[in-house]
Amino acid sequence: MIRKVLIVDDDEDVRYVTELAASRIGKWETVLASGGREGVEKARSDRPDVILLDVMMPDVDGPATLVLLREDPATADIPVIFLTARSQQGEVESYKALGACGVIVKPFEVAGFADQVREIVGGR
Amino acid sequence: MTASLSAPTAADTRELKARVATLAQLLEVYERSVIDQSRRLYAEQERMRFQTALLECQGEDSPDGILSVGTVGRVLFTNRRLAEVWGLTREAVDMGSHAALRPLLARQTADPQGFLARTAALRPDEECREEVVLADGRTLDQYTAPIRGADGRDFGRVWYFRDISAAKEVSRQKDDFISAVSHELRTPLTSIVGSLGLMELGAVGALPVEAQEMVGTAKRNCDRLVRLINDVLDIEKIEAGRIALRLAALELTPLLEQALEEIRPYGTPLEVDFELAEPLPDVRVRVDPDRLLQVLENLLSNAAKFSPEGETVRLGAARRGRFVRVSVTDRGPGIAPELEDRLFDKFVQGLDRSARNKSGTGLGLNISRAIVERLGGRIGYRPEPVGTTFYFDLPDADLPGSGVPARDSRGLGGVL
Repeated sequence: MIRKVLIVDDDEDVRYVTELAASRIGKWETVLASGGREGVEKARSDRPDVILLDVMMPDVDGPATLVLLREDPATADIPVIFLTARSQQGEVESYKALGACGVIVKPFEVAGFADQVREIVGGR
Repeated sequence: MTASLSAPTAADTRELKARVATLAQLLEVYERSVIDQSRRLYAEQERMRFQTALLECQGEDSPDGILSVGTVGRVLFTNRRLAEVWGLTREAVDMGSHAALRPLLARQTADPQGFLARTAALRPDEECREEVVLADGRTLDQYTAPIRGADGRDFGRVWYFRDISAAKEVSRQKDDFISAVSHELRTPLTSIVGSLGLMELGAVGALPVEAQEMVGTAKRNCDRLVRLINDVLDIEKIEAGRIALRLAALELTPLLEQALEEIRPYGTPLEVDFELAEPLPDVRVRVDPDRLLQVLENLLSNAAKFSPEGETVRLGAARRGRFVRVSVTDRGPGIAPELEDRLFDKFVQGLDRSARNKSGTGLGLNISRAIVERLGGRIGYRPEPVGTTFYFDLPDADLPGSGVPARDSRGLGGVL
């Protein structure tokens, strides 16, 4: 049962829209982070049920953030979904190999967003 | 008694002189003939020398490394470029036998065993083009073919090697650019599509009716932009040959049924229905299911878009020799004559630009054709008394010699 979602994205507008989709459509509590480091901190402090993680971020990018999350026992088990504007077939598989549950391609459909998240997380 | 030779008579002398003269004449003729023949022979030799020198120069200065091997494995010709592209000295490639040269070349590659195996696997009449990756990171384009005379005489085999590392680098940069551009385009679209989607759902408050319609219009066109970016990326990947197809021999009927189920909701607002034409053949095709469904979705949605309200689009399949033909038939207005030759080109759309037909990207048929051809098939259409049938033929997976050749033009044997 998903109650709280952490959204990590360096684009302010994407954060805004994703946050609204998560709270208004998914009816989840939301936590926001603008970069990989902040994302790891907030994951530790706020214990979300799911992390929505952007791939392309400056400094610590999505995959690097995932590695950090997996290294810490406190955050290692939180399911992570990559939000990415890149959707090369090979890349999707490599994300899963890194430990992500799945990938949602940007731009995403708001209407089905919450169901998509639940399906990816539920399927692990 | 002394034998006496009778002294030659005047008549004898005359006859002798005449015979000598004739002999002399004959000799002269003969001499002239010999000189003539010699001249001709010399001219012929000059021509041969010229031709040989010309061929040698052409071969020597060719942008390709050339290696010709005779029927019993003797090296017939090498040029300077051969040594260059392989990173060897001229002396090193001047091995007398192919058997001695081969391992030398193999050692220069990133996969010597693979290179030797593929060379050994060449059939005598086989012609093929492959990429060879070298240990130093460069890539060679290798083309090889048997050398046959006009009368069918077998001279052996020729290899052409060209260093395509620069072209590959340019191609890689182009890919990176397109990838980066598509990412840059999709990021702002995420916020736009998301905002419009939330407004449309009423998740940020109720909208006046006119505003709602406006949001609908904006969202429809945003969705179209997103599809366009996806299609452009797709077609670029397909044309660059970088689509990794996951081929498997699959039953055709379940795939057709799945395509129909997935497209049904598309027809509902258009008041167009879809129907599977029975009976369907029991046949398997070697396809990547996602890509096949992509082609079917394209053909079925086109058919629906151009069908009048209340009509039905029929999806069927039938064997045609070694192939199975999948057909999508609509009862629409047919194909305008001015579009006939260009239908599968990029960015060609129907002339009817009414709302129901505006949602396409203009790339669907182009992508479908590329996919079908990569699957070893052909795509086409034919007019019906009313409407049009679009079809594609795929090889029967269970017949020998079917499917995509193991070595395509990129030499990606493992990918297929």
